[in-house]
Amino acid sequence: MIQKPVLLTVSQLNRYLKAKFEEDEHLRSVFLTGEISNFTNHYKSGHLYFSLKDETAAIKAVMFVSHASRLRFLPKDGMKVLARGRVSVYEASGQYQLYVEDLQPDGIGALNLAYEQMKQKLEKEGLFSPERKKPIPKFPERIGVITSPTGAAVRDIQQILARRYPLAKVILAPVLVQGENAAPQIVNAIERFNALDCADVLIVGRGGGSIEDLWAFNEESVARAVAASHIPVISAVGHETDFTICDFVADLRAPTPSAAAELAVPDRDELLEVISSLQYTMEQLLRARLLHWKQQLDELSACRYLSSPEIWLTEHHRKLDTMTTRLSASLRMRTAQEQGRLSALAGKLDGLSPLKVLERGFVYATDSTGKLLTDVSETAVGDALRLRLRNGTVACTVTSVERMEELDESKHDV
Amino acid sequence: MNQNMTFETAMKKLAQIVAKLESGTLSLEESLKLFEEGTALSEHCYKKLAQAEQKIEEIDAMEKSHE
Repeated sequence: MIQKPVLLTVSQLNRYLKAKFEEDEHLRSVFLTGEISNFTNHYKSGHLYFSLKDETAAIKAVMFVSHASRLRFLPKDGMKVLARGRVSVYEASGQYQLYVEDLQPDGIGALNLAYEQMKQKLEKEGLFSPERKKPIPKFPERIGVITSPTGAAVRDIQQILARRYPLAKVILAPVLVQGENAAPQIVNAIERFNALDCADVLIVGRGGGSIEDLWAFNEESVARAVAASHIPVISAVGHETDFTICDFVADLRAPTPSAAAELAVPDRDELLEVISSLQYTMEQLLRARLLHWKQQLDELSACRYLSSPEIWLTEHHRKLDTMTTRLSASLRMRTAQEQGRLSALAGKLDGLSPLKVLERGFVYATDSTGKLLTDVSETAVGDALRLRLRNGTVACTVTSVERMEELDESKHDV
Repeated sequence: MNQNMTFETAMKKLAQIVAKLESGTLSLEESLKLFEEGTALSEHCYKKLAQAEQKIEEIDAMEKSHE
């Protein structure tokens, strides 16, 4: 007899399949490697829906908000991940899928990725920009220290501050520096210092540790609290090679908590030296000025004219006498010179005198009117002339007139 | 000189006085006066620094004193 097939409803079949999946212990905890695709975030519910695939196959996946909220990074299409979860069937659709309980980026590490993403995000906002950084005060009067109350960090900071600059009061805000509650406590401490305005500079930090240990200083809340602080913040997290987001946002990064204490204050011994040398400089400067004035005073009193004024007068007299003598001498010389000239001129004049000419035998003639004859045309035959000789005159009558050839004028000498 | 003057203020004033004395343009009287003032400041700074002892407090105490 042919058995009648069992007739199942769809629900029954799906329920059966689900049971079959959940029976299999291999499917209860699966570790899967794959690439995210078709990623959807149901923002309202917080559930994540996506597929995981490799080159040839894909499987649907869902991560409920209860698990997804713990994710430290944002899943994206194309991201290679490691997923842990269970495989079962969603009865209503008959769809088998991976119910993801934990998701990690494959190859990089979730924390590192989260760090990179947060760093990029805040850098884009400009929180790391150098223009934002406030200067650290040179002589702080109050220093706020936010760190664990136990451990080497707080001890080192306090000791170095005491040695270098005991003038500054230290105000401690003890906080957890790792674990879930660390970030909120650190944020709270920063905000309290700002609200009370009771510090001139803040040191925020802790000693060395793993990336998980230091994680609080990568939290967005801590970064934003540091950025918002109007009191300058020195970040001092871990060792020299540890960089946390707090370091990038702070006004100054110190490689270690001890270094932070050294950066926060000047050194007392150096300052004492500076003060001593300033005092010395002042003394030297004053001494120099006094010496300068004393010298001036000495010079003035050494001045002969001020100490015995009669010298002044004697000098004047002497000068006067000298000048007078010179004047007289020059006057005499001038007179003699003039006289000499005069004689010379008189002599010359004499030579030119007509009387002298007569003595040499020359004669001049005048007509009946007494006019001097210089030309033969001024007289005619029969005229009466008078001749003037050296020692007298002679009356004559012209008997003949003879004109001579014209002589060259230039041959005449007077 | 005001004993409440902060260390920072005192150091600044001291530096200013030294600069003025260095300029060499002051009268004898001014120089002497500034020297006196400067010496008082350097003594004040020196004392403050040499005698200082670190004070440590907790922020809770700060809050209480503000209330």
